[in-house]
Amino acid sequence: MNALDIELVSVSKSYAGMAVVKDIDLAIPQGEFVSILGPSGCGKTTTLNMIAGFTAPSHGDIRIKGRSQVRVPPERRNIGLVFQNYALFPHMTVTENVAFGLKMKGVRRNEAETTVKSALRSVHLEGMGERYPRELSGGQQQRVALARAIAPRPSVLLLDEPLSNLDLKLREAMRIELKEIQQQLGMTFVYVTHDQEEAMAMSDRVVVMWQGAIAQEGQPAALYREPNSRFVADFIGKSNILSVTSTATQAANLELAVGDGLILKAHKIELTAEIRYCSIRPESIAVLPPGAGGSGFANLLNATVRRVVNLGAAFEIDADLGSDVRLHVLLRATRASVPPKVGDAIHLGIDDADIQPLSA
Amino acid sequence: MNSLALDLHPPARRRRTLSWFPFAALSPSLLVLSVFFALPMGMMIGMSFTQTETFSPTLEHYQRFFTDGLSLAGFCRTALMSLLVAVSVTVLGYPVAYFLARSTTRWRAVVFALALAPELAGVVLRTYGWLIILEDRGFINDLLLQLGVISSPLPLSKNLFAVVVGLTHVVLPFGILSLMTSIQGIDPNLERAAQMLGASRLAVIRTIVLPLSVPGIVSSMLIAFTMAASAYATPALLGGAGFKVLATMIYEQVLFYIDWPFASVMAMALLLMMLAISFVGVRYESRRRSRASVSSGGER
Ligand SMILES: Nc1ncnc2c1ncn2[C@@H]1O[C@H](COP(=O)(O)OP(=O)(O)OP(=O)(O)O)[C@@H](O)[C@H]1O
Ligand SMILES: [Mg+2]
Repeated sequence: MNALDIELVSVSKSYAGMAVVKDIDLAIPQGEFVSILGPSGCGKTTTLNMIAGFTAPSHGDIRIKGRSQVRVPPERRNIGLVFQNYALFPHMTVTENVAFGLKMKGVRRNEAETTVKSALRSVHLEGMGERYPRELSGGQQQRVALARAIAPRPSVLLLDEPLSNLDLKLREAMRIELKEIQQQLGMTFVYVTHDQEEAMAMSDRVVVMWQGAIAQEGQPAALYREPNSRFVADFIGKSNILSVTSTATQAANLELAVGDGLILKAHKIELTAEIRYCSIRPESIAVLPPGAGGSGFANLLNATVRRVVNLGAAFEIDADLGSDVRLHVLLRATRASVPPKVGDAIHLGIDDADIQPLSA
Repeated sequence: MNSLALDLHPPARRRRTLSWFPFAALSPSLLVLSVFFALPMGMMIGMSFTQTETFSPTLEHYQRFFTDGLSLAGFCRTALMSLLVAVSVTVLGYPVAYFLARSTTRWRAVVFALALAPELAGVVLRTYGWLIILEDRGFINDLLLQLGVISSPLPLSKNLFAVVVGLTHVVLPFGILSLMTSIQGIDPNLERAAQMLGASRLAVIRTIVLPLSVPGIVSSMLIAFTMAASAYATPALLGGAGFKVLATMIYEQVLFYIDWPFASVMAMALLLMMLAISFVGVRYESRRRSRASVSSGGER
C-alpha cells in the first residue's frame, strides 16, 4: 500500500449555517488519479478549495503526507492547482508563466530553464514559449496552465473542471493526454468534474458526491456495475430504474416485484435495508426473437417494441413489458443483428447478476 | 485563404454600418461643449496673443512669461506640487483601493464610506481643517511643544508640504476610485494561482496585482496631477502669501492687476502642462497595449 498523500477526516463546511460539505472522509494514496464527480452545486469546488487552502473547513482535518494543513497557508502546501478558466498571467509569456512557481521557490536560473523546457515538452508546446496567453487557443492555454502547475513538482495536483471550456474532440484528446502525463510523473491527481464519462475514462478511483456528501466511491467499473443508490445508478451511465414494491427471498434468488405483478429474479444478497429500487443497464438486456426458448437467462420477459432509435453503433429500443413497466434496451449494431420493428413482440433476457437491487 | 476572408470581413462591415451613430449620439454634448468650452477657450487664446492698447497681434506677453523669472518659477512649482500630489495620492490610495476591490466582509462598506466621506465636506472646509492642524499654533505643533519634543514650532504650514497634504486629502477619493476599478478588473483567480505556485501575499501584489493595475495607476496619477494643478483654494489657503502656483497667479493677474492677456498666457501654460502630462500618460498606456497586440499579429 502506498503512503497516503491526502487525507480528509470528517471534513465539513457550512456557510451561514448552510451545510455545503458534510462530513467527508477521504484517503488518497500517492500516485492515484482520483475524480470527484457530482452534479453542479454539490460542493466539489468547495472541497477542492479546502484542500488547496483557500477555504478553511468548519470541522474536521485535512492532512497532507500525514501533517495537518488547517493552519498552513496555500503557498506553503506544495500543491498545484489548475483552474477552470486557466488563470494564466496575461502579462507574462508562456515561459514566464511556467517559470513562475520555480522562481518563487528560488530555483536557480539555468535549472529552472531546463525544467520549463521539459514541462513545455510534456504538454507539446515547444517553441511557443515567447507567446503571450492571449495569443494561444483555448486548448493551448489549457496546456500552459497544466505545465505551469506541474513545473514546480507539487506532491499533489488539483484540477477543477479543467476541460470544460474545450470542445468535445479536444476534450477527449486531452483526457488521454492528462492521464498519460499523470502516469509519467507518478503525481497524485485530484480531478473535479461533473462529466461522468471524463471521470470514468481517466480515474483510478471515482468519488461520487451528492448534496455535499460522498454518495459512493470506488473503481469506475465497480461503480458502474454496482451502484449503491438510485442517484449513483442514474448519474453514472444510463440505467433503467424500477420501483420495487416487495421482495421475497427464494432458495437461489432474490425476487423483486416491480410494476403490478411483474417479478424479477436478482442475485441473492444479504438484506440490510429495504429494497426500494432496482437498476438494469440497457446494454445488459438481451433482445431475443419470439420462440427462442429459455437460453439460460434467469429472467425471460415478453415485451412489445414501442420505439426504435438508430444510434449508429447501436439501436435504442423502448420495450413495453405491460404492468406499467418500460425498459430501455441497447442493442449493439452488428452485421448480423436485425433490429426489431415498432409493434414487434420480443423476448428480453436479463441475467440475475445484471439486476442491481438498491435501497436508496 | 477562405478562412482568412471570413475572419476579416465581419468586423469591417460592422464598423461601416455603425460609423454615423457615435457622432449623432455625441451631437448634443458637442453643442454644449462648443458654446461653453471652445468659445471661451478661443477667446483666451486670442487674448494671449493680443497687444493691450493697439489690439495688434504680439508675442510680448509670452516673452514676459519666460523672462520675468517669477512666472517660470510658478510654473515649475505647480509641476512639482502636482507631481508630489499625484505620487502621494496613488501610493496612499493603493492599499485602500486593493482592500475595497477584494474584501467581501462588511468592513468593505465602512471603509468605502470613510474613503469617500471627505468629498461631502467642501474643499474650503477641509482646507481650514488642515490649517488648524498644521499651523504654527496648530494641533501638531501645540502637542509636540507641550510634550517637549521640540522647542519652536515646525514649519508645517504656509509651504509646499502643507499644500501637498491638503491637496492629497482633496484628491485621494478620486485616486482610490480609479485604482479600485482597475484592480477589480483583475481576475482574483490569478492571485490564487500565484499563491498556489508559492508566492507570498507580498509577492502576489508585486508580481501580479501591481503590473496588471498599471492602467489604474496611470489614470490615478493623471487625475491627481490635473486636479492638483488646477486647484486654487487649497494652495491659496495652506500655501500662504508666498506660495505661488499658476492657479493663484492667474487669479492675482485678473483681480489685482486686471491684466487679462498675461493671465491668459499663464492659463495657456497651465493648460499645456496638463495636456502634455495626459499625452505622456495615454501614450504610455497605448504603447503597452499595442506592444502586446503587435506581437500577436506578428507571430501568427
Ligand atoms: N462563499 C460562499 N458563500 C455561500 N455559499 C457558498 C459559497 N461558496 C459556495 N457556496 C455554496 O456551496 C454550494 C457548493 O458550491 P461549490 O462551488 O462547491 O459547487 P460545485 O460542486 O463546485 O458546483 P459546480 O459544478 O457548479 O462548480 C453551492 O450551493 C454554493 O451556492
Ligand atoms: Mg465548481
